Amino acid sequence: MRYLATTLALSAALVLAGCAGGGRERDRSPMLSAGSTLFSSLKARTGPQAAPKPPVKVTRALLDQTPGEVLQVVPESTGMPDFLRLVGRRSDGTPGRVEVWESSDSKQLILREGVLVGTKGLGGDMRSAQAQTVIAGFDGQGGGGERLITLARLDGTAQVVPFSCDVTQLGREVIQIVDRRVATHRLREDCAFGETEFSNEYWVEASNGRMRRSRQWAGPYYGYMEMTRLKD
Amino acid sequence: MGTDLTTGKRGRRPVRAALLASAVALVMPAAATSDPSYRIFETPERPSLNFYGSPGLIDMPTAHPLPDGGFAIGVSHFAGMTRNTLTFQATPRLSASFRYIGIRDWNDVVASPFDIYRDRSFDLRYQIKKEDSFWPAITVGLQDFAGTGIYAGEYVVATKTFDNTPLPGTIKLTGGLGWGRLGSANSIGAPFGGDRGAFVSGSTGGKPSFDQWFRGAAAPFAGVEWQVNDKWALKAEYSSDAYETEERRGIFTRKSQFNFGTEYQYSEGLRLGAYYLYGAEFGVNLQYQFHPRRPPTSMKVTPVAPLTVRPNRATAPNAWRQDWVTSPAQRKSLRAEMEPVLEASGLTLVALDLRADSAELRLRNDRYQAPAVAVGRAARAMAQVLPASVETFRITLVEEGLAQSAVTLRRSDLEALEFDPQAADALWAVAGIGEAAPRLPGALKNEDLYPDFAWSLGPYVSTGYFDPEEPVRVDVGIEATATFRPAPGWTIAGSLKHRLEGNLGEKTTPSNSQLPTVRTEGPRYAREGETAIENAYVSHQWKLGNDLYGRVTAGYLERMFGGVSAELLWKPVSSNLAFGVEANYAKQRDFDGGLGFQDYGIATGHVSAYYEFGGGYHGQIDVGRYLAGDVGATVTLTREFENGWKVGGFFTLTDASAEEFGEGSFDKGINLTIPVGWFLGQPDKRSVSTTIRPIQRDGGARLKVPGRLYEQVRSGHRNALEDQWSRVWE
Repeated sequence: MRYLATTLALSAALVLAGCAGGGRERDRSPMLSAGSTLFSSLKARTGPQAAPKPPVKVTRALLDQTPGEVLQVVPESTGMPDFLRLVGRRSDGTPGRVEVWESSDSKQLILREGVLVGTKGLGGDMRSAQAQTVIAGFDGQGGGGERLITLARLDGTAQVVPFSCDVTQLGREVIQIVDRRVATHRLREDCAFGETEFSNEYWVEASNGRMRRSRQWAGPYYGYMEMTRLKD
Repeated sequence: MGTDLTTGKRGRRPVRAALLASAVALVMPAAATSDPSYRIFETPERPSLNFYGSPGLIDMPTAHPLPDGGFAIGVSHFAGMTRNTLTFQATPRLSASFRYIGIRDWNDVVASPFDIYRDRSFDLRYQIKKEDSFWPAITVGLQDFAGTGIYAGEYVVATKTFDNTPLPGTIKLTGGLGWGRLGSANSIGAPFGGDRGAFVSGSTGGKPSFDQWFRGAAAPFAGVEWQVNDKWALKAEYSSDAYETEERRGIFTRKSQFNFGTEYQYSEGLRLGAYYLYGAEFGVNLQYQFHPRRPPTSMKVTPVAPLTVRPNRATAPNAWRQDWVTSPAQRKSLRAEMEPVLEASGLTLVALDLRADSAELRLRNDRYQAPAVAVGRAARAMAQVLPASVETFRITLVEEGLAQSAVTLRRSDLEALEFDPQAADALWAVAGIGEAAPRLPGALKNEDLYPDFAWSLGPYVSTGYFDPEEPVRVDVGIEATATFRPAPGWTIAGSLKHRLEGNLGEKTTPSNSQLPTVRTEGPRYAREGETAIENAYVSHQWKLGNDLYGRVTAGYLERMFGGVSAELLWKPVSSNLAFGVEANYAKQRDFDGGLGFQDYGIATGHVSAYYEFGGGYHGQIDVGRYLAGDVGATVTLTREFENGWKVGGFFTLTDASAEEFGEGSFDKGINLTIPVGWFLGQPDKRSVSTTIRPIQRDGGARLKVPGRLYEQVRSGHRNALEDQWSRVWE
């Protein structure tokens, strides 16, 4: 098409020059948003790369300086550790206390007694989940059964998936958390729904029944993440 | 899509009615048996495509459908023939295709004004039998079914999958019987008898040629597809197409009926193929498949703080006192406190009515395509700000002065269910979705909302398609818009466009229409209006009653017409059915895009019925008088997805005959709406829409009025809330 080059050049110039004042988000031209999104993604790809941050060496001294409680989370998809802060804690009608943890990029993980029962802001989130079948095994015996997990599809709807789960007690294990050695019960949870399977592992402190470390599945889009409770 | 309709000749109404009934009968059972619950872990099998852009081998079809709701784009080329096809799987069994083709060297042997012959065609396919462990899948197809098209042909085809053979991968065997074009090589006679008209280049066309379907000679075809591994596939087929027209015109010479090819799956969506066809030519085929349910980037919404829970009444009785409600200053400060909390989520407080034990929040949502997200965030804002004694939250969504619906939630339910194992479903069970009163007397209003002025300056692109000389025409330029809202429901808006470059106006053939030229002067409008007022109007919309909405608009409504327009809509919050009536007087505007008018004026208007069938199927019928003075009806059937994708087909039959209408015989086309958030992966309420017509004529043309009520009103009603309710806690 003979006008293609001109069209492209003009559109590019105009997209960058386009501007608006007042009014509402939805009144703005979709072309402008698309253009600026494209521009920023190109810029991110071609621009100078930020130097990768050196991995933080967690020490007791560093933890002591950090206010509040700290949960370390390592998503297996990236391998990049993040330190989450507690933004909410509550008991509701369902057994087990709920904690809401927020990451440095404002995503949220929702844990019930340390068991992942929700994610927010990841895209393809775990909307909600039962945890009772896992919590029942924290005393070093029992656990397992049907576990409902509601998973977001990518089209704005969600599906309640009835996973059938087995909990296997792997016995006592001493784990190292920063400078402390913690005696734990180790559990493995194997869940299946049709062809879909996942396998979580939990290390529960033997003295008080609190989850110290885990490797948990956050849904088909995000995969596994490893969580360590660094500071209470 | 059921654009299964007929001629506009005055004497043929019974035929038309019968066809309408059969079209509805064809679509509706399919709608009823559709399975809306697609499974999160299952990737539906995607069949490969043929040169016609539908599921198939190389030039022949197969019997498997696309995934329900899926799209396929096919671009194929061989022997100077290019076929561009868009296929949509409208129901699990029914698919529709729209094709635009170009054939080179058309006038080499047989005289024709065109060197490149270009044509549009529609296909329909219906799967009558799904594949099971014993029986193959069976599909019936109508190719180029409107008029004596060059690709007209029908088929019945069966395909069976074998994946337990000693060979690696999967083998699919296909056999079928073709008619028309697909019955032209080595035919076995005419099982259903009858003659079939030959393809006539340049005929009016556009009507379903139901008297020709499955008539004339039939011929068998067969083939095999071997998907060797995840990436590579081999295909071989025996074609029943003799390419008679193409041979006669010297476009290519066929030496064999056997075709061979290999295909490579480049990515999840993209598949590329190379072939050797008819013993004479090499060909290529580019196949791209995508699904509205699978966005390019998943939607990520930054979460808000968890719900603020009230202190225990027994241990903190002071927090539960109710005397705040008597203090106007305290109520005002609560409103002031809530505004920024809502604003952080892209919501705007419109009004707040506070009582000791209940509160109603009216808000505007400019960010979320899913109203449930707005409701969930508003509920958390209320819990964060309002005193503990407020137990009942009423959240009312307001759209340009129209209160859409009121969602009633108990605060104690919110507190109990935020982290429930089935948090969203549990909240839906206790949420009340009811009608919203037109006004909220005595409420604290947001004084900063009006008057409101907004402007923008940016690029625009307008396109024209399917002109025989230049298949795609484009104008680009700059557009300035301004919107002034003096009070709720009032809008004064305008748009001015200046063309910088383009060729929309270069089509200089004068309109040959026998009707008043209400649309066919488009190129002249483009040519003469380098700087043009696109629109400039005053509009007022308001709620007349709990289920009744009204709108009055006056001014330069669209590029070609100005005038006055009034609309009344009845749509209860939880109803699948809505009725509307619209009356307009429109006068044709001057070509130059200035303030002047031409002599032509018309009273035009429609009575409309809208119905949501469930499962994402939506129907609309508009009956009335169109711009050219013709009287008739438009039928629109749309498949809507929860995330805002809409794909529809429509046709209009009026008392303008096929001869009066001209090429295409009657008005028909495809509507497509894509939410902007689907591309961006961020919450966004905007969407882009387009209408594709094979040809724009003057019959069955509706006035374009900005701000029609139905979509505005229902975007906050029960079905829209329920569609994405699972996101309420997002």
